[in-house]
Amino acid sequence: MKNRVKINPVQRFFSIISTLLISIWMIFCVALWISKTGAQGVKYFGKNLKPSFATEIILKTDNFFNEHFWSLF
Amino acid sequence: MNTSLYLSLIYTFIYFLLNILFGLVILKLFFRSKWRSYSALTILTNGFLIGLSSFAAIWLILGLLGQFTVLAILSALAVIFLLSFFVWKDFLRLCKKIREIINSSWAELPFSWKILVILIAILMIFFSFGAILLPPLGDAEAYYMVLPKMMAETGVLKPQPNYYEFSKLGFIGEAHYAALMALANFHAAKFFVWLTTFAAIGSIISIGTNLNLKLKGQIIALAILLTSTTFTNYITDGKIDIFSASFGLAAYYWVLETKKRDLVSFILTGLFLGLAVVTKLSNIIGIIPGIAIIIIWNSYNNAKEIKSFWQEFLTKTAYNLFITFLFFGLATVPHLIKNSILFNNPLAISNKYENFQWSNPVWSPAAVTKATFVVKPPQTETVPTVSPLPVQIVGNVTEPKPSSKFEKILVFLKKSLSDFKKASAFLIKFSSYPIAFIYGERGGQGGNLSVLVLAFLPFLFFRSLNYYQKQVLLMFSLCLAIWIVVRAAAVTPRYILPTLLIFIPLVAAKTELILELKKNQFIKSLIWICLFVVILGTLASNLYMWQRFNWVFIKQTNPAALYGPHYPPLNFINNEAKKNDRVFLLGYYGFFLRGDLLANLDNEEEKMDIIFYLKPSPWEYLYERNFKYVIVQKAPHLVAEDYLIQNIETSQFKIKKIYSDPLTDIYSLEK
Repeated sequence: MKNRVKINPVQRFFSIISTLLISIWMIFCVALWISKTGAQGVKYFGKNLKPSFATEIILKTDNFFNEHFWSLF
Repeated sequence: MNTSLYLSLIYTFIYFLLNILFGLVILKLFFRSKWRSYSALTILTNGFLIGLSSFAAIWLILGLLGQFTVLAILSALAVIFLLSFFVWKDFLRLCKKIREIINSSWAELPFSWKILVILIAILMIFFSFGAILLPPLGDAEAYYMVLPKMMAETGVLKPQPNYYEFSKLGFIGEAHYAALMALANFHAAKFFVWLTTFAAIGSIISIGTNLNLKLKGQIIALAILLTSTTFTNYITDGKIDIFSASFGLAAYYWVLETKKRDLVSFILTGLFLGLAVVTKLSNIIGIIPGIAIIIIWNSYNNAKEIKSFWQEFLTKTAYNLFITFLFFGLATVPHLIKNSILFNNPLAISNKYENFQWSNPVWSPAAVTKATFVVKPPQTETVPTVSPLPVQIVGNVTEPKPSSKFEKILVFLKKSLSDFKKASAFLIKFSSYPIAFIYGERGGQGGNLSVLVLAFLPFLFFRSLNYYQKQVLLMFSLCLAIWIVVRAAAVTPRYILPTLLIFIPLVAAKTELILELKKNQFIKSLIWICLFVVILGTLASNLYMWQRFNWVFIKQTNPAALYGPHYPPLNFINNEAKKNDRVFLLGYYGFFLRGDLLANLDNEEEKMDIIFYLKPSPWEYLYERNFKYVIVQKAPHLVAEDYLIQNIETSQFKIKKIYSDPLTDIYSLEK
């Protein structure tokens, strides 16, 4: 039989919470970067790009972060 | 020497190899017995960097002597080639070792990670297209590649007339540009920067070895490095920041090695530190304090178990610092000679560095952390306001004193709340300062650190740090803290690039630790997804480099498309002007002018006289100083051009507009 390390409920709770927080942090950072870089790209190449679902999503996300995140500072 | 693009790349590659071989010759002469203690990658990387600095010193001396000719360059290279027979066997053995490591690493990588490696390789190929095919941009088009071009075409190293102050800067990367432009062309010079990138990568991986970085960690470190635009922008634009980063990282590697008490580590720390400072003066703030502290720390660590601790600690620290700074000084000697000959002052520092704000630091967190991260200068009152007449105040009329206890508490609470709000607003702004390095868009910022640094930052707190990790964290934090204090308003990562880059292997090592866990598949998958998305996004934003590569095949001939909008007017003047004619460049970007015209450009004093309208008859002023042509690069100089045009009718000279396009006008001046 394998020796399995028992994790008590408190440890399990903190493990889940920290995993959740770190995941949210990573997704948030990368999403912020995609929206900012993407919006720059869309604005830069704007003349040559046809408005599409993707460009609209990028611009909307960028606007969302501008209104609700960057405005905090 | 006019050479085809492909041939110039072959020249560059041979030149790159000779740099490595030259460095290996020097390393073998002085440190051969120590080679076994270091990896093949470390030896090759450091060999290249030593060769790079040694060749730069030779080119510098040839330039100062006015003997920087193709024949002299080829002779020096031939001598090094002959000397290199002494190390060819070692070189091939080191290359074989590296090849074996790459082969075995590839075999053990899981498929998903192989995809990441392939994407990183494609990214590097894109940057090579950019380095070879993009013309010099920004500062490189104004100075960093212009002075070398002057030297390559005239054979003499002289201050660039229109950037006299800038010419006081170090001349290491620029010396190689000059050599490659003399032998081939600017494509070759820029391709050399791309090859130098491998020295920075080599140093990061070497540092990482001390930080427990293994295979996946190395891939993560590479991904972070190559998605950091503050690093990759300088691979393609022709500036010299990659050279300074490579030297700085090598200094960091060797200072970590000083724990082993090996004399060679102190010598090389000092040498690379000196070279890093010469290539980028701001490294004085960025690197020196951190390196000094680590030397003291290691001396303490080595002395702490000895009975006569204080005596041992103090003597060792003094000796180690002396050796390090002795070689630091030695590395700066060619630069000091250059400045003493050209400017009569070995310690000449460009007055452009006045804005370092040593004496008057400006802290503007509010502006730094704005969504757009535009740093604004401190607001000054432009409209003078009348001072109010002094009024005798009888009693406190504005704030009535609280009468009851309840009111007192209420006032206290209100004040506390307002103080708390102010403090928290300041703290938010202060703590958000580092993210300006990642998301900032300040004009002149010149790129960002990869978002992956921020995304993987929480892993830094997972498990305790080892000895070297603590040292790296200390050097990084110390530099950042000093930078924020002395240069708060300048969120410009390239000024402290080596120190920012040293953080990459630390973050990568801690992220790799998470990947080694048996549990937490979700986080592990998320790490891979983040890497994949960010690399893919960076690839997408660099697609235009692929377009340039395509131009080679379709034989794009539009010069403005190939070399940028400043090329056609400057080329027009090249065809029009006689040898050594004087050209007045009312603009910044003169790279595509002929070398003899560059050497006779207007100087800073003449430019100021014209721009600030200090002369009542500007054309006469220009004629007296033998100017034959005036080039106006309009965007920043429209007002000055208006001033010149206004004075055309009253002047006694024949002034003709001989060229005009949306960005540039050219006037000829005759009597």
